[in-house]
Amino acid sequence: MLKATKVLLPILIALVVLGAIGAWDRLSTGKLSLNFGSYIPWGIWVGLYIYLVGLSGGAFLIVFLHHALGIRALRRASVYALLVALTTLGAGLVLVLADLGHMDRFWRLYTFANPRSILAWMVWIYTVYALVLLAMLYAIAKEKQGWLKPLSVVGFLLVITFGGGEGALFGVLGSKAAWSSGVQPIRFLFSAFLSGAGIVAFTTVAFRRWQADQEHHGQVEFLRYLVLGFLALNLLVEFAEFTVTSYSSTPAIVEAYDLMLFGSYWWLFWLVQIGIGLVLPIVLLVPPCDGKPANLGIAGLFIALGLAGTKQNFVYLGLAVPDFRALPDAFVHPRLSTVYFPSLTEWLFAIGVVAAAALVFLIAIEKLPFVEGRRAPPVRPASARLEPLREGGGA
Amino acid sequence: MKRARVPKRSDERRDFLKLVLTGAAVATGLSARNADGAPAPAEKQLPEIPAGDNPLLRMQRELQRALKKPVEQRRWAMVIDLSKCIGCSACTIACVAENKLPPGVVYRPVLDEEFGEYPNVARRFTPRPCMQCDNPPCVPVCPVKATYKRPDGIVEIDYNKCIGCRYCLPACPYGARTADFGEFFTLGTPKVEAYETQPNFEYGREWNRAGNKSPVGNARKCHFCIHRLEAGMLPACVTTCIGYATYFGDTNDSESLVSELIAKPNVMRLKEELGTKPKVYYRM
Ligand code: SF4
Ligand code: SF4
Repeated sequence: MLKATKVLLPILIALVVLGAIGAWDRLSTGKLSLNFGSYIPWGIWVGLYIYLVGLSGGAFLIVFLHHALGIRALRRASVYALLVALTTLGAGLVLVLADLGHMDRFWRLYTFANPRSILAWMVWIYTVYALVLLAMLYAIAKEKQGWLKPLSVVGFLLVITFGGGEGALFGVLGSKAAWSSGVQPIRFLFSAFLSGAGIVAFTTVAFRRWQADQEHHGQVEFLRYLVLGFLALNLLVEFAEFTVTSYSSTPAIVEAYDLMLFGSYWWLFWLVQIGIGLVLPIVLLVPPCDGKPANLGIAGLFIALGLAGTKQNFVYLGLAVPDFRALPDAFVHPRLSTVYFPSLTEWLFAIGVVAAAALVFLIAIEKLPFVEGRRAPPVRPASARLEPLREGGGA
Repeated sequence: MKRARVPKRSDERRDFLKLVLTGAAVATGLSARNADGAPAPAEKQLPEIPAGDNPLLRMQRELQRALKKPVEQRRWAMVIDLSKCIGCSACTIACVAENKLPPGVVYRPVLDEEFGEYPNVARRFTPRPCMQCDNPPCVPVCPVKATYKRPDGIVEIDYNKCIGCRYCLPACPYGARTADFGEFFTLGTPKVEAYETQPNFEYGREWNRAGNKSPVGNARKCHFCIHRLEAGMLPACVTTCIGYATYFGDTNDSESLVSELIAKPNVMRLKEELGTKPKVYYRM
């Protein structure tokens, strides 16, 4: 067992137990102990759901790059990426299920789906995507190499669809000025790729089960450039969105930005999004700090944390500006407020679900026989190892 | 063209007694419970409305006239006269009582806004029911077709189909939808009082709130008191308004009071630029 696993295992189990307390509270008291309401109808669970599902799609990009495009440098990372994709998708869907007012009716999403609703489409796409992920896991376990390329292509098309679709979920709501924008699908897709690349970089460095050989260094280099590339793309899209929308001076958007920069969640923007999610990773990924693989791992984790904060802020800010200025005071009740902070139950369950996903991932890399290090690595000619970037693919 | 008649005080006094008697007749002669969701009551079931110029009596007669038509030929609309609204919130409370709304659920809040700087100040009260939009953004987003537009124009929520995803809440540009979190006013006291567990009859069906039973867990909103309409009664907010500030009727009836009112230039609709085509008009 890896040293990191040994340290994390008891912590994660404790967090899962706390999550179980949150789950019990949710099931026994319904929605009474949740702090969101009608003007902020979505809270930390929905923010985490869109983040985790996006992260799953982003991680799948690594799988696609290796199996479909033959990027050999990502051979080891692609297995971790597949496991990340599965566990984060599961965690995201559990969170959004718990968020439903009638969990017992979720099956209606399949039997009575509204073809005009993006949300209904997303559920169907998640389902097919989950099946693709499971099929790929099976193919890797059973060494059915021929399945992997077509499955990764199908999976990636699904990722593009639901990655962009998530942005569309918000972008199509003309009622919410801070969300309503054609750029949302692109924004969501790029941030999904960045978070996925970041978390895969982190896991392959922090939970490395192989020698720090040349292949590993090739992988680290590739992931570093990938992360930096997506970081630059994200910055570009965010800059365009921020400057264009703030220039338009739409009152609701200006107010949302004001809240973001100076409101009660100022720390989420300045410390988590900018500090942890942007500045520190850049420092760690460019010279003179770029030499150490550990720095890539830390940068990847920071990026993933920063983007988790970004998604929370995105959901909250879109809702925090009321439809009418006088609406929150027209009928006063805590559920009719535009101020939101998650309840203990929400925190516990959210932390527990994320910890459970991490636990499943760690157990998988420790126990699954096809994870590198648990089985003797394939012997390859030295020339193959010297040319890590493009060569034919394969697991 | 016939002009909308704005009621005078003398008319109001004269008609008051008639109105009380009519209300009693309607309330006793008809059950608002339309438990099987049956169509409008037959003509003979509807009470006779006394003659008189009181706008409530007139609207009551027009309502009966509309009920004689097939449902798809009715187009319900509401007109709210902002110059008459005094911000008493009687309509808000009537709605809470009629629909047994729990804490945190409101269908018709009254927005209270102040303008100007002392001494040049003004206050405006804007009741905000569901607009029953003709192009409702809340409908296409629903993933399970639990909310839809009825043939008479009212946007309905089927509580038994709604999964409580709350996607329709932010989709509504008017903040007209609220979620039922299962709260009771007397929750946390030794006993939840019986008045809180009385059934309501929204959409003509009996709903008993308890545990996670619908409408707990669902999106909820104003429905123009469809259960009352189909029993020949005006919406609760209309009959309760102390200033005759809320009018209701069928816009497919050119003789109706609401048709006359919305044909005037001094009416507007909220956020018209969004293209939602609200069926609630505001008279300035
Ligand atoms: S006001 Fe809102 S809830 Fe009512 S029909 Fe229009 S969009 Fe739907
Ligand atoms: S809360 Fe209910 S009515 Fe609203 S979108 Fe979800 S399922 Fe449809």
